[in-house]
Amino acid sequence: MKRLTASILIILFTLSLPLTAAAAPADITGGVHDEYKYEEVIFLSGEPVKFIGEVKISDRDRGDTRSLSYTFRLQPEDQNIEGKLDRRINYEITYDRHDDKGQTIAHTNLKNYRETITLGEDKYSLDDYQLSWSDVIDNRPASDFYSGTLTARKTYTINKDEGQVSIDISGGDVGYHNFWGNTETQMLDYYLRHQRGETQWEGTVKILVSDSSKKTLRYESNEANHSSFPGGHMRVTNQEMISRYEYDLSSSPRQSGTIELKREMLPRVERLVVPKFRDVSGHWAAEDINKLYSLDVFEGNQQFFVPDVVMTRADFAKAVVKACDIRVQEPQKKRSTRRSSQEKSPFVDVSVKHPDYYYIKESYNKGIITGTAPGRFSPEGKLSRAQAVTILMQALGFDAKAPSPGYSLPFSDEKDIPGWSRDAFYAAWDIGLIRGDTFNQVHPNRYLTRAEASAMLMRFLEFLQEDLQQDYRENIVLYN
Amino acid sequence: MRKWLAVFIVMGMIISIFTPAAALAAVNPYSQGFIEGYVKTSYSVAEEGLQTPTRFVRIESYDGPEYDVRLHRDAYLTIDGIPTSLDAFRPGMEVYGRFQGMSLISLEGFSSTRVGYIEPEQKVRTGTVRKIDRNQIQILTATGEPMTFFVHSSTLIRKKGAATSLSNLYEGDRVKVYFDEVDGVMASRLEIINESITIKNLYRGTLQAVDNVNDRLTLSYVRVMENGNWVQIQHVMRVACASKVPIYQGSQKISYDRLKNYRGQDIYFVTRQLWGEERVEKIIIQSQYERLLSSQIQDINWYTEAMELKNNQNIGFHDGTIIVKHGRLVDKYALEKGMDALVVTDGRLASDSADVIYILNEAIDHNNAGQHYIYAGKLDQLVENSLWLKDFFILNEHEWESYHSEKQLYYSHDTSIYDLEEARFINPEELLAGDYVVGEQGREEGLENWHVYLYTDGDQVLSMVLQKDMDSLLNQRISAGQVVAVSDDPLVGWTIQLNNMRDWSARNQQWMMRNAGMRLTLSKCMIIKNDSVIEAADLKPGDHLYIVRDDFYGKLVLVK
Repeated sequence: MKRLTASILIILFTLSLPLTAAAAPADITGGVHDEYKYEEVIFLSGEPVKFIGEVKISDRDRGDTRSLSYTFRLQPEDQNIEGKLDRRINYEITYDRHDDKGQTIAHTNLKNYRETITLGEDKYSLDDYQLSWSDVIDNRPASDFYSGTLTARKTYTINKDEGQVSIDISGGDVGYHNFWGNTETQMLDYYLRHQRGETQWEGTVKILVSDSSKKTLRYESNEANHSSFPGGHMRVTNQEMISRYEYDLSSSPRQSGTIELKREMLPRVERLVVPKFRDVSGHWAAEDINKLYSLDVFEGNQQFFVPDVVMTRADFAKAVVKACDIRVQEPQKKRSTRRSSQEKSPFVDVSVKHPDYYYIKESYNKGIITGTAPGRFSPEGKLSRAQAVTILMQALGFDAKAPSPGYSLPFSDEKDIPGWSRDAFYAAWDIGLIRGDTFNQVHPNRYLTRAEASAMLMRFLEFLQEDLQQDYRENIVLYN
Repeated sequence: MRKWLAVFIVMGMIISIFTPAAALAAVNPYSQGFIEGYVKTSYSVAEEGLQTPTRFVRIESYDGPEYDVRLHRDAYLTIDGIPTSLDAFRPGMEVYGRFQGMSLISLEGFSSTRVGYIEPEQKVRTGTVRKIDRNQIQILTATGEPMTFFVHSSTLIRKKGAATSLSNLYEGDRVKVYFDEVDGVMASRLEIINESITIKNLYRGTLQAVDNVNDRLTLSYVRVMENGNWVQIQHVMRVACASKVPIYQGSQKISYDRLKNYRGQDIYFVTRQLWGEERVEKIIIQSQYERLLSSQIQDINWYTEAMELKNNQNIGFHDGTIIVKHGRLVDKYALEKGMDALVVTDGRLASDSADVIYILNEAIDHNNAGQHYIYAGKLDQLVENSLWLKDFFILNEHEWESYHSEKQLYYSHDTSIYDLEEARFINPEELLAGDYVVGEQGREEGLENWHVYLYTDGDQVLSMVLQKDMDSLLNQRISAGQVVAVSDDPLVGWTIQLNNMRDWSARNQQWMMRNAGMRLTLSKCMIIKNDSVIEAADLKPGDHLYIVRDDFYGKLVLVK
């Protein structure tokens, strides 16, 4: 513990989740860190100098405002370079909620700053820092998606009055935040102007930095043979930060090149309960069913999962709510009688005493389900493929991405797709959640078995875990 | 009276004949079962005995009259096919409603003016390039489905944040393709992944541990493929390996969970450099005995998935075979007859299959989308934007081919022009003003026209190197290799250390693997990357090069 030079303090003053992703790069410098070290590259002197040291992050969330402060104490990684960096920056983020639209606008304001960088004989002091940064967050049931734009200007003095370095920063961030993962990628363009007496140079630095965490399920077989279970799944949370600086400085001599940084947190491991269904082994969807049971998405102590019977609408809605880790406000058991008498169900065919009532109600409130007719949900009704696809796409909020009506879908049984699920089918096809069979049919009106529903749910979770990370990190950083 | 009655009957008959039936029916939408027109307003009325208010919508029918129509309790309301609520029906919206009894059971509104419209570049697909045939590209999408699209002259092609051409796209590259239409196959933008796609190393090592929490493999007795041979590099190695990496034993796919069962066995794996570290891209577990072969693929039997080498030996290949071409990991469909390959086989002599196929071929153009040429010759004439060569040479299939004729080529302000004698770039005005082409008077003074190496796209010169004396092209050799190190030597200038070198053999018409690396001096060399001249300092370890060299001196280097 003595060697722990980097410490991250996350103080949550309220129980509510922060609106922006938990994984986010510290400040707008392109730096990366793990639990132990922080590192970033500084270009003020006209050549890249990598600094390394500690960062302390304080994050206070008060619901509609959030206070973020970073304290950096760094030194050049190269022992031959004498230097030091001390920086303390405080930001306040205010959230302007538009609940009717399911969106939030976040404004990041600079509260105070202090920065001094010593490099050899020179001391650079941050004399002025201006920042304007705003994000729009689309709060969808399964995930929040956000995108922001920022512009900033930093002005440093060199040895008080010997010269000046100004950095114009422009760019933005994109990210998502859900139970299965969160990623924030910042794309920043620095324009540097260095003026010292007669000497003057300019330069550009393109920074791509991404902080990403994801939860994945891994199988661990039991090494012992005489055990009551052959192995089980674990949930592994990995978090890593990557950064790339591409710089071109017209200082003398000209400096240009690329520097990449990467830091990984120690993964967090959680072993999960072991399913012991007697009718699942050897089934084509066994792995998906077992994973979902391990995650508590499917409940029960029965020995039989019965994979080939039809999934009910209530069971599926509950599974989606659990898979997305949407909080359901269930009343205290001892007061349940009184509360249920006050409670009014949004559906005439779902009693408040229905075992899955609160899950159905929450999915209705979040816009994941709408019902089979006004005021009706048909909880014990059979779940069709069209219904399942629509529920999943509404959870992501992706059905709104469909083209304006009148488009055709690339399936041979397109005519069978109900009008209310066309947008969902388009979105699901667009993100690779569904595809046609060998006859290019999607069978929208066919009922889903519990096994098929499990496979679809697991693919949905993979989308939240892997595909989003790929899109928000690799597809941005590696193509720019 | 009778007379008047007869007139009325005749009038009635005339009216009934000449009045359209629809007009008559429109008078009563309830009887025809539907109503069409414009929304005037919508409202709710609380009715006695009903818990919920009854909803009404006032519709002005196309023929004029307005109707206050009751909505059925279960009425299905849509706008452009999308379910919605009554609030969304704005006054003026065109609607079509169907009756059940005296209530509307469905009401459909029409709003969109552009059918099937998506925002420009809203449809995006990512995948790995499988085939490039002029402007037709096939990719394998992330879901494993092949997809074909086309690029046209207005398609924006970009790589590493800058514009480039299709000739810089390789099989095995990953791309992001943008379309403007839902069912469009013409790409509006094509983004090509940056250099991180190229294979850094091919290793063989003994698997010691699989850490499926940290996604790391530990290996011992690690050897790297260098110049056609395995070279031991370190005793123990820990390398990043994501759980999604394809793992094979023969043609059998192995799950990451089961990889630990192969501890103690040798594995082959390729890596690429990503974010400052090497990451495993594909693994194949060795089954039996290894042999190393370097030969040309004479024939491919796709049915049996076997290739016949020049020495008449048959070697099988499969989905698990690691195939590297132009420094990129490709699938088996990238194999072609006539390719030269270094093959790592696995098995017994009679039933060998390939664990690794390393394609040795390099070329100026690696796909038929590009038409690049390298010329060498003496300048004959030089005017604004044009030059002529006389008795020149073209590098054709890795050999200099002479032409006893004149050739007109074109240059522009985008042409990189480098004066090797003065070691500096010059602009077209300096080219014209200089003594690179001399007149009668100059010849009398003993001056001569200069010699050039040209790199062209068709007849358009992309880059030009000028020197006073002609090199002996007979001495030149065409090679390919991978940069290991770049250094600025105080004595000889910029030099590079190369590995995995192969030379073109004109006699064998084959790329021959060299069993040693070499050091190449670049002090008088034109280096081209993405159609532009770059400096030696811009070369990076891992770059794959196509080289025209005179012994240890590079003359022309193309970064692939």
